[in-house]
Amino acid sequence: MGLCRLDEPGTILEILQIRASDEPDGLLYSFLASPHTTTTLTYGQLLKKVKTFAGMLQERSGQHERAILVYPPGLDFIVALFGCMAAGLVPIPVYPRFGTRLERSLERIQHVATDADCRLILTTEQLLPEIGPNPSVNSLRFTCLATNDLSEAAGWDADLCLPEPESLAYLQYTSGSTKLPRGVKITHRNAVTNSAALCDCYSLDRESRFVVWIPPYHDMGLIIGIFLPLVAGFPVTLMAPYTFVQNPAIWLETMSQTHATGTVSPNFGYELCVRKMSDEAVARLDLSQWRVAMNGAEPVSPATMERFAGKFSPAGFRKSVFCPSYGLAEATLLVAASVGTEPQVRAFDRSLLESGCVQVCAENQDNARLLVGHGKPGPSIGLRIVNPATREACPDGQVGEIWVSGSGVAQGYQNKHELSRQIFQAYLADTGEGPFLRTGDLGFVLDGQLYIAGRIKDLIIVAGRKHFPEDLEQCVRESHPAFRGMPGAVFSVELEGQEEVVVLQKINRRLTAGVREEDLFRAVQRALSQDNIKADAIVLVKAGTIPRTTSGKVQRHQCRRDFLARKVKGWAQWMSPRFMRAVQKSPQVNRVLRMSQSG
Amino acid sequence: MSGDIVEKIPETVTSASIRSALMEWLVVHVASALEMSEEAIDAGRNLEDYGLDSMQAVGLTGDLQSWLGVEIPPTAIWDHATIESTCEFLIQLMPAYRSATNGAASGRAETKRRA
Repeated sequence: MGLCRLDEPGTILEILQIRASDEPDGLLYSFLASPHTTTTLTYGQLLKKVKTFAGMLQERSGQHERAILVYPPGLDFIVALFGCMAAGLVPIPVYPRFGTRLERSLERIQHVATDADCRLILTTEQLLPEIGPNPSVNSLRFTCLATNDLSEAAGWDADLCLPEPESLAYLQYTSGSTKLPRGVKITHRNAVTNSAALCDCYSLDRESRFVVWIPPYHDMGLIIGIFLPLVAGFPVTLMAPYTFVQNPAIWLETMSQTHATGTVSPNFGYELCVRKMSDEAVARLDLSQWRVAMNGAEPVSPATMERFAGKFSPAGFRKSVFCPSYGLAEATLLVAASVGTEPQVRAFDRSLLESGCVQVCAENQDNARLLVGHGKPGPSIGLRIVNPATREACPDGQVGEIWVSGSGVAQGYQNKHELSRQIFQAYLADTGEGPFLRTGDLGFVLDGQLYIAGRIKDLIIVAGRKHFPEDLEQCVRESHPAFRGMPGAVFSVELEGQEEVVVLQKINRRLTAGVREEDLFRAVQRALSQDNIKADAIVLVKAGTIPRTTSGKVQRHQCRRDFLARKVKGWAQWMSPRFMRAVQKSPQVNRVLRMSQSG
Repeated sequence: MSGDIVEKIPETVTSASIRSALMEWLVVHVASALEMSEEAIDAGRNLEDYGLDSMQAVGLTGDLQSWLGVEIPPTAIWDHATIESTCEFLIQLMPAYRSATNGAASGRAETKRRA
């Protein structure tokens, strides 16, 4: 792997400088704007644009230290990202709007800006007229600059500001909800060493070639799509997530056309290709060059991998290409991955697993839970399975919280000192070893493979984004007068390997006279859709149904158990047909969960 | 992508029948994406109320593209929120498609439309 390791590069900008001087015409980024339009950047072009951008920023951005980046996916975003770093500003990528519904994006921008104490927004000429004059933006006294055409302007050319490796490279707001965002502080060293670890772990080199549709505002899209290709020195073709979702075939067609060797997607991306692509479309593909199919950010489904491998084997796809991968923004990205062999799928006794005990069982056993091995920790990444209550390392064969150490572990959350100390500075109680990052994920190691069993926190992960149930519960509570001030619980249950969202909400019966149940259900859906979530089951519950601690905290684990055991007493309930079907098909759940759809 | 939206609708081509064909397609496919019955879908209702997310909305524009053989913006359904207004938007798009094809087929469609 000598080729992709530069001698002690401290920052991503140094790597860009070295590559641009070694091979200015080497192709780095291609962006597929439409099936017929590709724009590209070589190392040399990128460095030139970054310098111009940085010069513009130094002249026009005043005293700002951080900048929120509001860009659609594309090369302008990449130039802005590196341009900020080169001008000595910390970039904060956020999801731009999708379509014309800018208001949601603006709400998130406001919360991020407040959390990060940032008052500079960089965006495109197209978005500026909508963002700049917006009253909610104005109220925070933002400076808004459009940059795409400015970066072409002559006269600006900065010397790169080469930051220290230990300085902050960017803030990653992937977790948390709109109202309570959490910005992970990533240093240049974090970004470079985790990219180098990815390179080693997946055996990537200068001959590699990737296609990535994950949005660059997500840790996975940013690291795999943007940093990794630069650090490893291979070309990547990027596209917007909606380009892929509209026509999933375009992902694999682009891989086929560019002879790509690797890509990354959450499980649903692979599933979408299985569902949407015709056999004729598969027959036109050549996927024989494909070596690395990272699958991460949401639970990896053995059934999806099976179906995908079956469907695309005529095009030369092999199942051993699948790399179930585990990572999180708090560790920059990579923690562990299974590489180079067919993923290990093993069956475990579900009820024993829930009580923390690892017991392999037969796949056809009634309560078998199939889990996929996520391989070994990446190079220079440490991993411990820890009893979260005692903070002592778990003996083999026990489920515990996954604790991580190594140079990828971030510096904490922006503006959250106590929380950062708890999560990023954990020490083993018995040996004092540390510090470790507490991931909040439950897992175990068996025969050298890491398995992910669940989560301690009641986090809900939908399409790779993490949501805190407290926030979702608050959204639901505010969505209808009959819910206001009433307790509720939002949690997820796993059915057929898919995470399904369940909402229990107490209603104020004095305010529901003449209100149709349907309208209450819709109020819930509308509230959740602000965070791009939909409920698969909603129960409007009776008093005393939502268990709480003596201090009034909702006990979601108990709610989930009650729900699965059909102990929840409701006035009305609704389930999506998909949920109903999954329930009927799943014998294990069916035994305990036979609920009828409400009329 | 090639073709004319009108070509896909074999009945006597009037704007009313185009509208009803598009409406029917949207109701059937939205219902299928949501796994609901077609009767339960109200074309004037915000699709988010039924739990349609942006990803499903984008996915449906892809299916629309394959059906109509013309490019549809990925935001088409998400931005227009209801089946009715999506349908109006698609009809608005049609003259653009017709002039873009600029051939015998589009001339024929135009004539039929006036008839």
